[in-house]
Amino acid sequence: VTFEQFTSTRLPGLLRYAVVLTGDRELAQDVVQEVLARAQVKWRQIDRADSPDAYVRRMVVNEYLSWRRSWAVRNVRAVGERLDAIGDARASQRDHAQSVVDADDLWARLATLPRKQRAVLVLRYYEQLDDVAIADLLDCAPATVRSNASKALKNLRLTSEQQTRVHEKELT
Amino acid sequence: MNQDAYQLREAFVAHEYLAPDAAEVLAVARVRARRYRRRRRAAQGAGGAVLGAGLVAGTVAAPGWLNATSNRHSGSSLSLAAPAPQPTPTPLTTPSALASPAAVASPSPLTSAQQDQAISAYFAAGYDYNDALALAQLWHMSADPSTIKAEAGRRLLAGQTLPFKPSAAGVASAAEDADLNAYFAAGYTYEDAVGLAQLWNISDPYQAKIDAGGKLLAGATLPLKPGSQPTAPTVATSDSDSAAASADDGAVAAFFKSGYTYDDAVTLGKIWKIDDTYQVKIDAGQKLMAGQTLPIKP
Repeated sequence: VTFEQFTSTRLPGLLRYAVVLTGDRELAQDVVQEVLARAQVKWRQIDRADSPDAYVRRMVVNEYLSWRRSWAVRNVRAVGERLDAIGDARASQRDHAQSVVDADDLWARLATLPRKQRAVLVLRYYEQLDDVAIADLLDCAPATVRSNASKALKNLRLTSEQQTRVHEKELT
Repeated sequence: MNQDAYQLREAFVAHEYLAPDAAEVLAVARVRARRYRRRRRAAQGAGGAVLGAGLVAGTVAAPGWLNATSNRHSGSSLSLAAPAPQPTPTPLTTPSALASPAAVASPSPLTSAQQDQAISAYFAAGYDYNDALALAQLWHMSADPSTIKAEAGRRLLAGQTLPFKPSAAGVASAAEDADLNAYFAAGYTYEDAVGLAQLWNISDPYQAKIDAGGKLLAGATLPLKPGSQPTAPTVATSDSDSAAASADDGAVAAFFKSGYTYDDAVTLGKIWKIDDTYQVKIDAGQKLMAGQTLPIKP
């Protein structure tokens, strides 16, 4: 498989994966650009892997987890914007399906998770990998994967309960 | 699938539409790949002499690498392709820096603040994620990469040296990090970088961020105020990238029109020592368009 063949068939899926992984369109763009630039330079090595697609996806996860450039600044801003946007959407489009609102709400809460916890959830529920495969991908033990997943789910529920409490307080 | 799993998958799938534009991403990646290739060639040219010594010294550590690798992957039934950690072929700094389990020991417990400081020192020295994987193998440590980075950073802060120098990409990114941090710390955004790239006639907003960060660090002011650009105005950049991509496509077309094939590009790549076959086609096509001949016939 040449680099061009790879990108023509796999890039759209890779970008969807990156945006789900990062939760941020611009960060996904930066991460994939960086990964593709590196991948292009050493494509011959990647092409020798059993699955170039899995190799590049792994590069994307690693790049995301080690991405330090202004990530926190950008992420905090983005979450704020998203929460505002969700608030606006709730006010102006009450006829939207509840499932869409729930998905947006959960998406916003996912943005508050530490990167590794989010990555574990994406790999487990979006990529549908088992914990052993995730552990190999993240270079940690399966128990660490389970721990991160457990913490992530707990954090998401806590955030949800806090938001509900704030909302109820506002109503009263 | 339980309720959590179902809801999470729904949330993920519902936001796939946010994926960036593939053509734009690819155009910028190609520009960036060319830059990395140039840097690599420059680094290879400058470091050739010391590289030889480094490779000789590296043989001392090689069995450790090989053993660690084979132990880790033996018996694995995973189907995922695992990129091999990149043992950086840069010279060992001192004999004492050679990995030995006794010298390495286990990481000392660090507080959260100390860990952050150590990791910052690690990145500031130019090391990157792949270097952490390499160190983990060299030190026979199974901790996660963040712990390795923290331990390596702690050693750097203590004035010690690591078993190898940072990879070229890491050095470059460390130098760029300072510029990028300055850029974002001043409140500028990606959209501002697009605007600056337009003003400065640069095709890559990433490069604009670096240039802008460098100017800010030098005390200069930028022609745009932070946050002054509207979101997602990427049309102009796309145009520039498209122009670059179009020039590349022209060169590739010239390559094939002259009767050369993909296999010829692979052969040329070996002659020119370029891994990227697409880049070979571009280089070859440009030579043909300039009336030059190639070292092999179609």
